[in-house]
Amino acid sequence: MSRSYEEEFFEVFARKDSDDALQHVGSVKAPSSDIAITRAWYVYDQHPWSEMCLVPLAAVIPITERSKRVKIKPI
Amino acid sequence: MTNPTYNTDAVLRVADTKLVLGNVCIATVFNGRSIGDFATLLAISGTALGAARALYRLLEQGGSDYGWLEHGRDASEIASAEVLDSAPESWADLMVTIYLTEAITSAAAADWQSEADPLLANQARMIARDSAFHSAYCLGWLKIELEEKPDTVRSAFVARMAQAMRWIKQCAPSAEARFLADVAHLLDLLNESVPTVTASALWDKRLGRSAPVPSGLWEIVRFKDVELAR
Repeated sequence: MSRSYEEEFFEVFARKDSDDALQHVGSVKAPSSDIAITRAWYVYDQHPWSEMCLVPLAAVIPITERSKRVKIKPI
Repeated sequence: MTNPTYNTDAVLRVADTKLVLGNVCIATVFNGRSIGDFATLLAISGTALGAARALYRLLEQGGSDYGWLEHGRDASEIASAEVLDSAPESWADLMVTIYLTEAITSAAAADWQSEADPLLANQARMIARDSAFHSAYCLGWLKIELEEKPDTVRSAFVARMAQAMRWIKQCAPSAEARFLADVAHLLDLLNESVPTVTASALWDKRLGRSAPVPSGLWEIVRFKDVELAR
């Protein structure tokens, strides 16, 4: 049986062109940011994005509801 | 038909290497650790086969027969890099195989970005772009595997790096510096040095190989449309 690896959530943001706002398009789970980069690029391929970036969910600091885990919902 | 300004043997070697890489990724997809890995391996395969198809079309414009290129050749006529010849023996070995294959093909194709032929130049840019993603993915997994199974990673690297180095020196010597820059991350990670390699007396300069594609691999790569249609 193969080992299961610990994975964390990465929130994915992208924009279609420079006039577009960077928007949340979804999330991926991965054992590292290197792997998350490629997973995000190939999973969220609905547009030829001009820009895409990732943020580890753990890096997001809640301001409201500070006792709860942050939930980021796509538009 | 146009008279190509580029080295058609060099284009064939990259095209066939992409063809075999695409097939290897499909054959190994369910060794992935999650559905995310299945999707990534299928994406790597898709871009590799897409590049192979586009490069075969380019060679067709230069006078080659597309049907022959795609499914008319036998194992002795395929110009794929020997780094893909032996089946990966572990997840780490698969990651090393993909990483080095991407490194040699993108290094060899880099010069084509300034080629006069716009189709070849565009294809070279796409190969470079896709390669960067695939390499990041493989390196990410190798960093993890190195923590658990360092000997497995190291033995896979030593074997395949020698084959990759041989291919670069024999097939694309002007790309050696670029190739070594691309694999520097992995060399640093493993604390390994660049191997010294020589080509065997059987080395075929045009195909970039010393022997036909092994039978096990050929069975995966060869077209089976007639058999499947029955």
